[in-house]
Amino acid sequence: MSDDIIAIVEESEDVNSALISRVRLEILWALSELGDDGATARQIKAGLNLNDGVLYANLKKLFEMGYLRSEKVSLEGKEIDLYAITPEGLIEWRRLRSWLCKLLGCKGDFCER
Amino acid sequence: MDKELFEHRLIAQKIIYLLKLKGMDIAYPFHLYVRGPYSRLLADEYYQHAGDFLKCSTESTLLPAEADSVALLIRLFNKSPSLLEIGATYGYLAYEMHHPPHQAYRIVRKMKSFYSNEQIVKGVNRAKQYLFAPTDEETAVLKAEMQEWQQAGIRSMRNWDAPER
Repeated sequence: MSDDIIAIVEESEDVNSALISRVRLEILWALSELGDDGATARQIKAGLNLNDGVLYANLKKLFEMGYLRSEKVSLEGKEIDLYAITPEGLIEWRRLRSWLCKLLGCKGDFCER
Repeated sequence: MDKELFEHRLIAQKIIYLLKLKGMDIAYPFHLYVRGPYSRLLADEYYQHAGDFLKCSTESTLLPAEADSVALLIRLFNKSPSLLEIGATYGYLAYEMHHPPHQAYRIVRKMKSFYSNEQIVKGVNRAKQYLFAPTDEETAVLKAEMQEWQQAGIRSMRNWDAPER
């Protein structure tokens, strides 16, 4: 632990603490591997078992921070909201994940999907 | 198929995944996400080769068995995005993660709760119809059971045909 404390404290200054929320972390995690394809709001809601209020409040916050982009897409004649992670969001997610890995003492592949 | 259309990208992902699950030699790795089974590598391909994706053209040719597999998949799912999403997700849970059928069905209902129960049942049934391959033992048991029914049917028909005295 003593070896890591300096790196953890130093790196924590670069981490956006507004992201340290279970729901925001889950949303970024869920979208981080989906690139430009992203996922629809209803897929995120059902997949992460969130209610509408929590989902949209956090999507809005991540959108305002510039970590997500959104667009309307058509599926079987219905118009639905699609969300995808932005390059800035992906950088922030990787930075945060790396910091969390250090904090939790995970090693290498253990933290990889 | 147009890479600009979400619906087309979804159809492509699920069709390729179901074909892979059916045994076709497809190298793209798939993992389970909120979208259902999804391959980032496959996504890279349709973004990089948008022209080929649009024309659905490839240098590869399908073997007759592979062509049959594609035809069956298209017949069962009719390129319906919702049925493909449900069917592929069920396939991943039941055939890749080896969850018992009732548990896989329960997870699909939860993960895809934005679809109606009717759509979920339909999608799951189509996936079972497409992916279920009975073992020799199951085929033998089924044959033995059906033989009794068949013989009973034949007996019944003979009695029916026999002139009354």
